Amino acid sequence: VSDERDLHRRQALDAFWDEFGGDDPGRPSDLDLDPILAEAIRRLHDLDTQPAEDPAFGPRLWADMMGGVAQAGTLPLRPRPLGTNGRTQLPPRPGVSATQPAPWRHRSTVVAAIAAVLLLIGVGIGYLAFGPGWPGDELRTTIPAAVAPAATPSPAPYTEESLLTITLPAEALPGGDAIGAGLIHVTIPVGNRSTWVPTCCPGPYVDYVIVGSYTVRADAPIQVVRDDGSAEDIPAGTEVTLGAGDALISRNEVGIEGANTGSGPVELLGWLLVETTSSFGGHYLPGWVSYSSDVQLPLLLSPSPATLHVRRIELTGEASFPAPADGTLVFVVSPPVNAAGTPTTVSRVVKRSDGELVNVGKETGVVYLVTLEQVAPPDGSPISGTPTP
Amino acid sequence: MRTTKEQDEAHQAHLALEQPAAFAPLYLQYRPRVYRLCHRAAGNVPDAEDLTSQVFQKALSRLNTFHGGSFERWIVTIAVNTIRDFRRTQHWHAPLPELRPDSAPGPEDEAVLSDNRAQLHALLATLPDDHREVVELRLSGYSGAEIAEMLGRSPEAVRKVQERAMKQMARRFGLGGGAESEGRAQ
Repeated sequence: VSDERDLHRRQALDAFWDEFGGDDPGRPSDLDLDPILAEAIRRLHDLDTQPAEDPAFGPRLWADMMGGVAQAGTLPLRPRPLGTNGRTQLPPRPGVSATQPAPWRHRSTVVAAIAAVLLLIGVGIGYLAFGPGWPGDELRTTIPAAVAPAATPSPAPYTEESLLTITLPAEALPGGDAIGAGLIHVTIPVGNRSTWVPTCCPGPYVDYVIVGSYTVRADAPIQVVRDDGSAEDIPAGTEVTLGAGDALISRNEVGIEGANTGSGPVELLGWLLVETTSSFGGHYLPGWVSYSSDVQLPLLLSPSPATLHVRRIELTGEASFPAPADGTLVFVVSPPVNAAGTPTTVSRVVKRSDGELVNVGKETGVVYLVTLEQVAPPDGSPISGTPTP
Repeated sequence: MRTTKEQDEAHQAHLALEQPAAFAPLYLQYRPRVYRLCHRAAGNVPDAEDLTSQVFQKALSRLNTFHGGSFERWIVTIAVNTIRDFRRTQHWHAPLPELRPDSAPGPEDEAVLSDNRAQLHALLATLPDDHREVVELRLSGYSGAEIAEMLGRSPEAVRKVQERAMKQMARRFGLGGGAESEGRAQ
């Protein structure tokens, strides 16, 4: 009898919610309806005041979708100088300028919004006008005129600084079908000393020190790649200090004690690729502060080596940095200050779904870009740093 | 049996396979609803826009997997899965004082709590993910039967989830009957 009553009560609540919001305010006379739960439903709906979209969003997304469709298969694959590492300033690639590929991104927000609206109206209504369209649609007789203005070329849309390139052998990569990866920008306060205690999730873990003095001691052997490209094998339990430009190559399942042993904050990039679980909360040490992260899962990996490339990208206002080759994972984080040194937690550099970076603001923006590209197995070498000339 | 609307939408989706611009009517029809669902889940505009973008990019690239029926249910199912992935990534993020609902520019004080959206987001965040999913779809106006179909669950399973969720919400609202309601369900 109790089960049947429970069933009726759930059905009454279900029916009440089904009818909620219409002319019928529910069925308060239903004796099985719990009035308290019905009131909870009413209050939830009262709170549900979702904002209207930014009017420019719909047209912008549509332009993006159609641009992506138009470019599918025709995007040039970037030659990737994976063997040349170091802190080399790479010039912008020829042919990549603010004129490519979508004009709306390189103009002011207002002009961009107008152009995007025109584009959406032109494509959408134009399709409805000429295509099979909606039966009985009144818009069939309307043919809008959409004129896309030409973009203004920019001489130097970005600078690219290569910071680190390492190869991860196939056996270092996690297996299973629950693989996740993430990049974080971390600030470690002066005097902080904390410990990473792994509980799960094997996979490679890399720290790249942007600035500061970071001292670590690991429970297992680790590798340090210095700013000059030289690699050092560090035995378990041995303390080692990393400075700006140095990188630590470890594993997420290895316990590490880390400390800021300098006189100023440490800024570093942390990247990991792990076989994850639903309870894994990321690789953060107590006291770390992170304002920017890029987490991606689930991921599919092939059983082949992968190349990890860390770069610093500086984009002028409204410029873009091209998408990588298909299949490359792209991670982007922003430092907590902008190029002018002004503290900010809002980056105007956004990542498109294809991996292209776009500075949607007018000021120069800086991001750290990490790409992971799987390559054919060349020599099965262990994790190693690439020497800098 | 397909309704006329479903037939039209299936026709439109089929055309869009060859001619992507034919996707426009479906995009115009369902983007606002998907956006609201995403905003309800994310609690801020940038993430809502990013999620909406992902949903429609996926939909456009997977149109060949739409074999008729309700296009709305199909795309909302994509949205639900995209939001699930988004939530999983959120578990990785360090707690940040800067991460607040977009409508709350100041510290998290009474002004924030009085904001309906912020309060709703905070309330929903207390629910387990599967409960929250059902409630968010309910707030989007879908019926219990539709939600069951979207989530691939039985209607009774959805009814149990929403009852448990509402008991928790009732307690959060301080309706005073939470314990009593809990007791009645035993």
